[in-house]
Amino acid sequence: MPANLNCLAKYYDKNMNHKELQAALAEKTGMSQKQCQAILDVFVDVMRKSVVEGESTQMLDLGAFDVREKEQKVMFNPLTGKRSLIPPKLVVGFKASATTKNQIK
Amino acid sequence: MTKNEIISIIAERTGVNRADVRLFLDKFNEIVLQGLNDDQMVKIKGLGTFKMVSVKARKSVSVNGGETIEIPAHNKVTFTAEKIFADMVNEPLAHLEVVELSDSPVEDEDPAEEGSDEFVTPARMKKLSEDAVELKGLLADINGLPVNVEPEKEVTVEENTVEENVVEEVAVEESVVEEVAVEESVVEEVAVEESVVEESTVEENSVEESSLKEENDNQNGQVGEYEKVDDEHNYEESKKDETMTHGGKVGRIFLLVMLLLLVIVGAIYYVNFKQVADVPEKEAELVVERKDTVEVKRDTVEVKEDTVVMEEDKLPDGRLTIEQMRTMKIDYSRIKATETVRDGSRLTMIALRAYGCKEFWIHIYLANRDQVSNPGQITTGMVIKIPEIDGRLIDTTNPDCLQYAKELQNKYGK
Repeated sequence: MPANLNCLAKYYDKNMNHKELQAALAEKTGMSQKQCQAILDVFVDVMRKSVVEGESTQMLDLGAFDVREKEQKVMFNPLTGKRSLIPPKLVVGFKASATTKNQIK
Repeated sequence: MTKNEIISIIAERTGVNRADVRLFLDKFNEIVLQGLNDDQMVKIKGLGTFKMVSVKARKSVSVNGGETIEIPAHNKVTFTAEKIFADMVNEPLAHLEVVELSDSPVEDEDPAEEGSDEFVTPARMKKLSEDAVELKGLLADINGLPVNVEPEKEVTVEENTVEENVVEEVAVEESVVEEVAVEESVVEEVAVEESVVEESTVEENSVEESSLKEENDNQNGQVGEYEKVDDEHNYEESKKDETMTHGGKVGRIFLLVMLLLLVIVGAIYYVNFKQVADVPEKEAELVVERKDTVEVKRDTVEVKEDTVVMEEDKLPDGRLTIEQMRTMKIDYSRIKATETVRDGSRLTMIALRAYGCKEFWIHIYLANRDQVSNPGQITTGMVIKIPEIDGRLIDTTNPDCLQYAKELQNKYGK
């Protein structure tokens, strides 16, 4: 494999997608990928429901999810010259825990 | 929700025993951290993406001590929720939609602006009408006459010519009518004298001159009348600019002016005719004298016009109109101060410091044209002369000053 392709591979490797995560989990826990997938799905579902209920939710030791409210604002589109009122919105926020912060330094 | 709760829920739902779930979650945690460190990014389906972002070192100020501290470079974790997750969280407010405000706020603002204009105009009108009343009162005091008519500038000019014609005609007529008029004039003289007395008493301006001969009294009367006319003319001049603003009144004023024109021409013709009948024997002298007085009158008219200009300079608030500014010559040789150009100096900023308004930079530029070729580029170290300018030209409260400065900018500044 030529060197430049190696570089490309390294570049593409720069994000861990779901498949990679599953593979890594299966490898480390010794479970099958299907089982990992099932557990992960439930975990995600639990996390989401917990966040939607409005609580600040600890995601393991990684950090905490919380729900933040964005206020409404007026936006101006310079192309059309129209102004529009963007309604208030609830968004998910994530705050990394101290351990995470230390580990990714 | 604690970790144990999560574990029990997952174990319940998947049928995997708790120990395995715990192991799974620990490994999951580990892998995500590892993934962040190695790949900067971990995607979890159904939840979102964790990303590691590196932050550069930056300087900041300590909240307590006020000292500058350096925040070292570090990494931080950000999370972007997937659409499904974000929608679930936003469900309580999902019914709200983006509202277009295309026109309604603009409409709201426009009437306000118009309203402010409307508020300005009546106030100005009110002020003008007050001024007018005041001026009328003053004129009435000066002339001892009720002022209800306002001649325009042209009126006086026309009168001059009219009167000249009249005088010439009179000279001709006199020689023709000479003998016939002699007897009748005796009777008329009395009436004339009476009218002369009336006029001279009525017009205080001519009182000083009323010590002259009776024959000249008529002319004095006329002079007085001229002065009166001039006074009114002053008034009119001062009013003219103002009347332009409210066009509705122009028609009425024009009518008044025409009426006055007729009245004055009629009066002068009448008076002259009387004079002709009055002194037929001294016709030659009289004609000469009248011509003299006509010249005198012209002089006084000119003088009056000068004073008119001077008085206009002192018009309310000492403001100049833009027309007056255009005619004024600005003397840039008098230097108030000098300023050395530093890095980043601008003529506008110098003007702001020197005159209180950026727009007047053009005056500084005009005073420094010998060294500044392009007003946008002044080089460091240059000594800029700040000219001493008539305060009325750089009156920041007078919109005409700004207007005039802009005109100058268009003329010289490009």
